[in-house]
Amino acid sequence: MRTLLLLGSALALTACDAGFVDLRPASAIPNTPSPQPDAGTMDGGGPPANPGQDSLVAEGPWQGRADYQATGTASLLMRADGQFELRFSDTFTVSRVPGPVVVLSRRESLSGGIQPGQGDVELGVQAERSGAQSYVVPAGSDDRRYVWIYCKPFGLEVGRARLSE
Amino acid sequence: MRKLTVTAVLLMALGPASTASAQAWTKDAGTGYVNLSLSLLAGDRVFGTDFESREIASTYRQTSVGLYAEYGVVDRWLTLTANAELYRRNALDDQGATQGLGDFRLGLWSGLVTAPFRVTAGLLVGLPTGDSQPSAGAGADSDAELIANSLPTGDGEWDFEPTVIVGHSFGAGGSGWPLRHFATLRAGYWARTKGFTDAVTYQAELGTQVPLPFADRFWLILRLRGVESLAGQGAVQSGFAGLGDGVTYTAIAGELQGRIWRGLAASVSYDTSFRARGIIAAAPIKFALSWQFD
Repeated sequence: MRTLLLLGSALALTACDAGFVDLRPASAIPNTPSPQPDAGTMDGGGPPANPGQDSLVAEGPWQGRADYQATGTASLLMRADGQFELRFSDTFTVSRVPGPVVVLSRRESLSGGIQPGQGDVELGVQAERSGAQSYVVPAGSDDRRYVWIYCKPFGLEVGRARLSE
Repeated sequence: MRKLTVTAVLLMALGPASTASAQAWTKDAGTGYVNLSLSLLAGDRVFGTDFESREIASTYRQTSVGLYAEYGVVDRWLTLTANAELYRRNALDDQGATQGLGDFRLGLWSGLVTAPFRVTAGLLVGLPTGDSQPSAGAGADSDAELIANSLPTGDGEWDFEPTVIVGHSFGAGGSGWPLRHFATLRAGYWARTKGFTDAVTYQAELGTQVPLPFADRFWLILRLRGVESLAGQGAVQSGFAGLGDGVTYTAIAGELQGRIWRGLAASVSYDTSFRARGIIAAAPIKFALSWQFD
């Protein structure tokens, strides 16, 4: 019995890291590594900055797709410096999925995956599963009115907010 | 939307895996059983939290090499078991793959009743030997990291499963029924840690043998088995590799075992679910070689 417990403890303490093999076509691999999202900055989902000086452009409620759940509100704002920003309300929650990213799109459905050629803009990895967070909107992308939480590895729509002026 | 009727589900990676050996019959001291298996599956649909299956962006493939062993320490009263996923590879076509050691489960079994039927109690302990958050490595881009994170090789938590199995063998040998059978009923409570929701596990199994020369080398085993997570729909983590929280399934399985020589046997099995959530819908097939020794 003691041997068994010792063996178990040893195995648990030596849990092995899995290796990763990249199977993406060469064309799908970026030449330079993209930065990992930092929840403390505005690059990948951080707290809103200077909320009092921003003007609301459009907003809409989150809705779960298929069997997934999403609640709260998404808002597109123009900051005082002229930059656009996507902001989730502090009531935001969404179902847990692997590899969720935030996407801004003109499309009602992300069928076929994220398609930059159709105007889809990936804003970054979803910073938190719930609570207020914000994402910088690249210049020229503020005309999109659908915000998505999208499970990128498995290609599943998780949540969508339709923004209205 | 395709219904779940003809899809199958990955079962070999889930915690309370059943085995080719009927644990209701504990091992005598010094005797044992070893089973080395290879499981393969590929699927392009997932079971959502509403038990419906949905298409995914690319095909998911899983390869698993498992080792299961039983060893009798004390006649009737103590049998040890080990169930190890020695190698697990999860892959998403044209995206990425993770590979490494999976999770281990160790068990203690004791025969409470031996006649007129067997009642055996056990305690299984799950060890987090796999990698619950694989990384694509230093310098990888964020997409690679997303892919790696979504393909765990372990659940990352310790778990405990007290289990009771009732078993009975019957038929042939003057009973008037031409076939020989064994039947087991198994129920367990899968207590999980690290925020995972507990689950109830169950299995009913019927083995059949034709007691004729040569034919008696074979057993045909049919199983109904499953895991019922106590997690509500909102709590289900759709990890899809079978290792997320809230995984639930009910499946039927068929297995054909054949004795090759003395204690050496081979088997092939197939699992088909008709109700599942939080996992890939796929058609797994499992090949195994086993050795029973005295």
